Amino acid sequence: MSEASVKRMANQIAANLKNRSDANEAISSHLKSFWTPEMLSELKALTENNPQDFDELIIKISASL
Amino acid sequence: MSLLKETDFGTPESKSTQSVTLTIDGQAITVPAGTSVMRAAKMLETSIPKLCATDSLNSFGSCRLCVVEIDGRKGTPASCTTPVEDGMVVRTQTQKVEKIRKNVMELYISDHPLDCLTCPANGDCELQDMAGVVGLREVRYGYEGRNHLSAPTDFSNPYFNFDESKCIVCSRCVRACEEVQGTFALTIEGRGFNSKVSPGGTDFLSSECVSCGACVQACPTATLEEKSVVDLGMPNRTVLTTCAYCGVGCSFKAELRGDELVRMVPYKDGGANEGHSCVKGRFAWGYASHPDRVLTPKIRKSIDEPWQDVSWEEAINYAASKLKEIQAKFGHQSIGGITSSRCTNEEVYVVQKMVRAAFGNNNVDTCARVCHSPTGYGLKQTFGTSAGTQDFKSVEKSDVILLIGANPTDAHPVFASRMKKRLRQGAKIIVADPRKIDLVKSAHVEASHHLPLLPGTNVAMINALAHTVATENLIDWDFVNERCDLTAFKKWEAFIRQPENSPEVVETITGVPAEEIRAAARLYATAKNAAIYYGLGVTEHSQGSTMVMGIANLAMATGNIGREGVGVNPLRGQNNVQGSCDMGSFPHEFSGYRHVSDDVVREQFEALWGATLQKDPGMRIPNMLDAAIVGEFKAMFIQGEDIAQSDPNTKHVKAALGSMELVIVQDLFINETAKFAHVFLPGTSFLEKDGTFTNAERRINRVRPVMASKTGKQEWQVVAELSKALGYEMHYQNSAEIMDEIAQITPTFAGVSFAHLDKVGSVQWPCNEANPNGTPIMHVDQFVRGKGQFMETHYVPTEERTTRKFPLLLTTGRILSQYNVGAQTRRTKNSTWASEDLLQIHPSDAELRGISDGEWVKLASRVGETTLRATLTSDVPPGVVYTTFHFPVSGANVITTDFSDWATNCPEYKVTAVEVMPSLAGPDGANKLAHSDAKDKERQFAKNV
Repeated sequence: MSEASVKRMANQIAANLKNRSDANEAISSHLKSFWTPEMLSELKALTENNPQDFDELIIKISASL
Repeated sequence: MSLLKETDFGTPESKSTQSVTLTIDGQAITVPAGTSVMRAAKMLETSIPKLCATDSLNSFGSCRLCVVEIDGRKGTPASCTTPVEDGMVVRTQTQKVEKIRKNVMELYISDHPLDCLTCPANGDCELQDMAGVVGLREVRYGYEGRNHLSAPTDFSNPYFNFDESKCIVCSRCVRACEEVQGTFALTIEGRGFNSKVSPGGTDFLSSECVSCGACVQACPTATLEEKSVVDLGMPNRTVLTTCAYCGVGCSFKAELRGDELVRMVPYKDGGANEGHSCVKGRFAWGYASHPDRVLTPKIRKSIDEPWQDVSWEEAINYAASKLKEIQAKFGHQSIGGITSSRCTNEEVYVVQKMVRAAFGNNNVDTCARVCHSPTGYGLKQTFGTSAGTQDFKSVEKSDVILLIGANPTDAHPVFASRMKKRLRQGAKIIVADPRKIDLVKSAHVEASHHLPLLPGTNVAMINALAHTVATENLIDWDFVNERCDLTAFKKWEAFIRQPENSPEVVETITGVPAEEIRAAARLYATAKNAAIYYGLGVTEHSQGSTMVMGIANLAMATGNIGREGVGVNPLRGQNNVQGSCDMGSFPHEFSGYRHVSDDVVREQFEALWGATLQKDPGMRIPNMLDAAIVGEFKAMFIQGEDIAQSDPNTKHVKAALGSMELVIVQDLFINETAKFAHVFLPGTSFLEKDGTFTNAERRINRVRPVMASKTGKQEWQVVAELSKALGYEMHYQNSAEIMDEIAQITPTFAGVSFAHLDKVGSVQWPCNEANPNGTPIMHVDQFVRGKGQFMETHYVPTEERTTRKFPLLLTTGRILSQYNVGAQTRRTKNSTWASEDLLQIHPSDAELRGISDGEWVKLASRVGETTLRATLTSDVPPGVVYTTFHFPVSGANVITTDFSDWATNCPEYKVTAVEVMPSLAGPDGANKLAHSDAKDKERQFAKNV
């Protein structure tokens, strides 16, 4: 996957779920249900290396995946 | 095998629950009140002669052939217009009525050509039949007087002729156009002897006629006759099958003469269509035998090389060896496949099985990714299963219809006719769509509210409707308290009551006046039965899934779930979108929507298939394409899809396809995607397939082979052979065995088999021990997930914004005569009506840019540009332009971006910021000033056929 795609998809998920009362759980569950292990690994690496590109919730959740 | 003739009871069935007992020719019969004498007689298998009556139309009483005698009544009433009464004594065969009938027939025949032996309808003509039935032996009036025998024939329609000389002016065609189709294109022109059927004073092609074929079917003579019958002769055998176009899934009688298909006639007992059809299913099947069909497998090492015809064995072995080689070099995840909603359930199931068991990964996705994947997500979250809640018939009980982002008169015409019939009976409709579609205002239809929202603002709109319901005390508390999860409801209620969701705030987002939104919400919420129907104008957005959940919220909050006349109803684009999703085509789900990470379910599949399966989700189509561009994904099996034309951002798709080492396409034609393929495996048309399609109402219909496969193989056989060459063998003798396996492993299909479908006609899943004949309405007593789940649906604006450079919003859709990427309809005479994609633009936007109607224009977005012809119309609001994606030459998806739904990656086809400007030349370089009126030319061609 391209870095740009991973970044855009992750931030878009956060934008759509972050106002929900169960935001953390909803984002985490969504990523686990629909993303491949390779995509999750890429996300983890990207959030570690370029945290400024990501929503805070994504950074927090990807660290726990 | 003889022609399959459905029983014609003469008049429609009465829905009354009261019974009436009468005597007909000495036999007693009890029927529902309101039944006609003609129908009651037919129920006793007594056929009363008739010409103007048929049970798809209301009784009319004009031909006077069906007269009967009734004890205690004066004269000879028409049996079609006389309702039964308790104690009535009817005599259908008396000297008196026989004499009247013979006289009537004599008059008809005195003004009818006596060319039965050379008439194309010979043997299928009710006039001919009735002349025999009444025992007509002579015509005393002669043929020299005034008559209509030299009246002209209208050849203008590409599929049927109108031979006025044979018309008996029974009005069946006019009434079929009104009552069945709801177009009102035909009328009786003139009075008395000069009365004649007329398509509005012009020829059929120039008229409002939509070529649904209802008039042709209703005609009792050869007046309206299919050209194919004229050319090929009357068919002599029938195969019952299912249409391959939209998600309505109409049942058809394929009528053949020997092995040659002569015509497709809608089947009256078909659950989805009940005898109606549209121009595509009825007439546009010629593509199946089009010379462009590829029947021989092909391979090539590079897409720069010419194709090489090879044997099936060589093609399959080549494909398998390359797939293995690529996996060995780049890893197991480097290959994947796409299933097609144009293929049968059995064909789809086998492809996803090959990917999971033979490829050894879950990189399988389906074209529903780009249309209704948000429906799957949204309805599963809220209701517990990924499907619409009703059968089509349910709309007959609806009092209010909320239509969102769908244009059924063009995209689901047979269902639209059903909907329009209900509207003519008094139901109200609310249309939420940027465009003035036909259901906003057309013959005998006028929407109570049109909410012309700005593209991309659906979620704000649905929230405002729900806000009105919540704040104006319109919530159905009994339903919510009994049927829904109250914790989730309370969270939702607190959210939806917030001022940001009020119509007054949302007016600034959608452009729709707040009071109009409030009025629409009140109408929907206070109806006895209110139903929501929606289409791709809901799903193909960056918030498609959120919108589907918002729709489900609104239906639950108002108690409009779980009975006839209500519900949430996605109108599926292609014939087997529902089925392809049911069959486990998504990368995270097995058949029956069960997640691959569920150990219990996965172990069941592993035991049945004898293979180790992956527990993690695979890649979606856009993921695979992205991975291809960065060099991580190298091979793709594509079943019956043309992603290079249908998927967004064509440049991106083509770059991905071009960077793969192996693309395998299984299709009818060398399509745009096949230009990037290395292996081409010829596919079969729906006329050759043996299997099932599942339509938008979850109805599983049989697709029966009308003719032998032109390629010598069924598609599932080719996939099974490829799988075997990869080292994983499948052991099916026929497609019925594939369905047996689906039923064995999929609880919602547990009761489905070809034998059962052949016996009962069709079933709507869930079909199991508890519901052996299927489930027309879902969530009746409880939701599939138990309690209905309200979801918070926060409006997040799309990232796609208009700018000074791209100040207009492009939205895309479909027209009646063409279908999807046009692979099928472009290869039929449907192109008579539309032979190019047109750009609809509002006159004020056109004037600002110096654009005139019919001129070439350049349409540009930030990802690409194309050229097409402009058509000026106020059906689109200022600031919005609209086009279709049926023709590769204009390639509308060159323009659309790769923005997609946050939850499912369904592309945002409906919102693209664009600019439009005059162009000196068309897409093929045609000079702006030299362009001719293609439509006039094509019409002239059709007239000369």
